[in-house]
Amino acid sequence: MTLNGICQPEQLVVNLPASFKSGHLTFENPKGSVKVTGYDGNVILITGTPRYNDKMEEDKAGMHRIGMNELDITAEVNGSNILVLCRTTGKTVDFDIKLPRDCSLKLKSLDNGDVEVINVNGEIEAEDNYGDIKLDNIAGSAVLSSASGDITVVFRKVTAGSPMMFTTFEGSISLTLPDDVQALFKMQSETGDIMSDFNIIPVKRQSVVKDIDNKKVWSLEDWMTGTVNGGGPEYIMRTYSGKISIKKR
Amino acid sequence: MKKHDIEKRLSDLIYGNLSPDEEKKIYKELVKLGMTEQEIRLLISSDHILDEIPVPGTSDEMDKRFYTMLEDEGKKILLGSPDRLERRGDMRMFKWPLLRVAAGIALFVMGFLTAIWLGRGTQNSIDQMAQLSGEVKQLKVTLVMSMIRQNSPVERIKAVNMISNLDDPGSQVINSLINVLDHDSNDNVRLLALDALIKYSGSPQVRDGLVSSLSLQTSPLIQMRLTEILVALREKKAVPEFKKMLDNENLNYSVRGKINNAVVVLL
Repeated sequence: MTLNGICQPEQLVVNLPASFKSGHLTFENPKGSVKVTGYDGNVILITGTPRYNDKMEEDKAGMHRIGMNELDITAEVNGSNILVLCRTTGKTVDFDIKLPRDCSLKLKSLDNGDVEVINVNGEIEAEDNYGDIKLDNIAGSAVLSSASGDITVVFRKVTAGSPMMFTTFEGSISLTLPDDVQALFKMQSETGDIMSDFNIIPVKRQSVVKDIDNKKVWSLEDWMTGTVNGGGPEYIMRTYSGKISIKKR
Repeated sequence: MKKHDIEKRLSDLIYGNLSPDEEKKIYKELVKLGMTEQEIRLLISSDHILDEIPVPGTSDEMDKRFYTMLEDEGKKILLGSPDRLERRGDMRMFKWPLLRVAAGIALFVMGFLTAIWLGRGTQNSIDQMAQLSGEVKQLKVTLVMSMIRQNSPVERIKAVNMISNLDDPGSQVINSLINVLDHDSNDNVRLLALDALIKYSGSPQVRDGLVSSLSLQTSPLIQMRLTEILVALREKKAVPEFKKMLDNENLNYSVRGKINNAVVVLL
C-alpha cells in the first residue's frame, strides 16, 4: 500500500532586538519559491513548506518509514545582517518569510520556484534561474534577473539616484513606477515590443567602437534610450524574447 | 539624511547623476558636515575640470609645502591599510572611504585652481601639474575600485558605469572589469561589465578575458551576449570554447543555436 508521507511546514521564529530598525536579509532556496512580505514588527517568521508529499511504501507488517526532520532552517543574525540557511535534502520547499518592512534583500531561487516580495522598503536583489520574479508595493530600488521567467515590479516609491537593472532571457518585463520618477531608461528587446504610457524623450544613440580584424569599426549602440521627467539614474531593461512595458502607477 | 546615505550619493554628485532637488539636499548636508560652499563646488566640478583644463602654467612662487601636504594626503588614501579592501563582507570598512577619496579629489582640484590663480608657469611647475593630474586620476581609480567591492549591487553598477566614463582607465581597472565579469555574484553586474568591456576590445588582454570567460558563465543571458560580442569582434580564438559549451547537454536551446551559428561564422 502507498501512503502519503509526513510533510508538514516548519517555522523558525527569529526575535530581533528592540533596537533593530532596518537590516539586510540574504536567502538562497536551492529548490522552490521564496515569498517575502514586509510588515510592522520586530520578529522574522520563516516558514518552509514542502510542495509535494512523499510516497511511501508499507512493508508486509504495515510499517512505513518516518523521516527525521528532513527540513532545517537556520538564521544567523550579525548586527543588521541576517543570513537565512536551509537544508531541504533535495526536496522542493516553498519558503514564506515575514520580516520588518525596512529591509534590503538578497534572494535567489535556483530551481523550480518564483521569487515574490511584497511591502518592503529597501534595496531588492533577486535572481531566479527558472521562475518569475514579482515585486509589489516596494519603496527603494531593485536589481533583478531571471533566466526564463517574467519580471513584474510595482514601485510605490523609488530611491532617487539609484540605478536599477531588470533582465530576463525568455520572459517579459513589466515595470510600474511613480509618475514623477526621474530616470534614464535603457531598453532592449530582441523580439518583443517595448510599450509605455510615460512621456519618454528619446536620447540620441551613442557611437560604439570595436576593433575587428585590426580595423576600428564604429556603429550605433543597440539600446533604445530615453529620459522621463528630466532624466536621472539608468534603469536598464533587457530581454531576448519578451516584451517590455513601463507603466505609471 | 544619514552619513551613510550621503556617502552613497557622493559619486552621483561628482558625476552629475542627481536631480536638481537631490543635488540641493546633498549640498545642504555637506554644509552641515562642515564643508564650505567653495569646497563643494570644487568637488562637484572635479570630474569636468580634469577633462577640460589644459595643463596650465604656474608660478615659481607656489608653496611647495602645500603640494607636499597634498601628496602625503593622496598617498595615505591610496595606501590605506591593506586588509581594508580585502574583507568584502565587513561593512565597517565602507563607513567613509568614498567621502575620504572624494575629499582627496577636492583637495587636489583646489591645488590645480590655486596654481592657475598664482600665475604663469615654468616647465617645472607644468611637470608638477601633470604629476598631480595623474595622481587625481589615480584617486578616481581608487574610488571606483572601492565601490566595485561593495556588497550592494547598486553600488557595483554605479562603479561599472563610472568606469565606462573614464577615458583611459588603465590595466588595473580593466582587469577589475574582467574580474567582475567572471566572478561577480550578481548576473546583472556581470552583464553590465561585459558591455563596458566592448569599449576596450582592442586590447588583447580584454579579448583573451572575454574568451576565457565563456567557460565561467552559466546565465543564458550572459552566454548569449558574450557570444554576440565575440562574433562581432570576429574572435576566432573563441571557437574551441564554443565547442566545449556545445558539449554541455544543459546548455539553453536558444544559446546552443546562437553558438552553432557563431562557430560557422568564425571558422
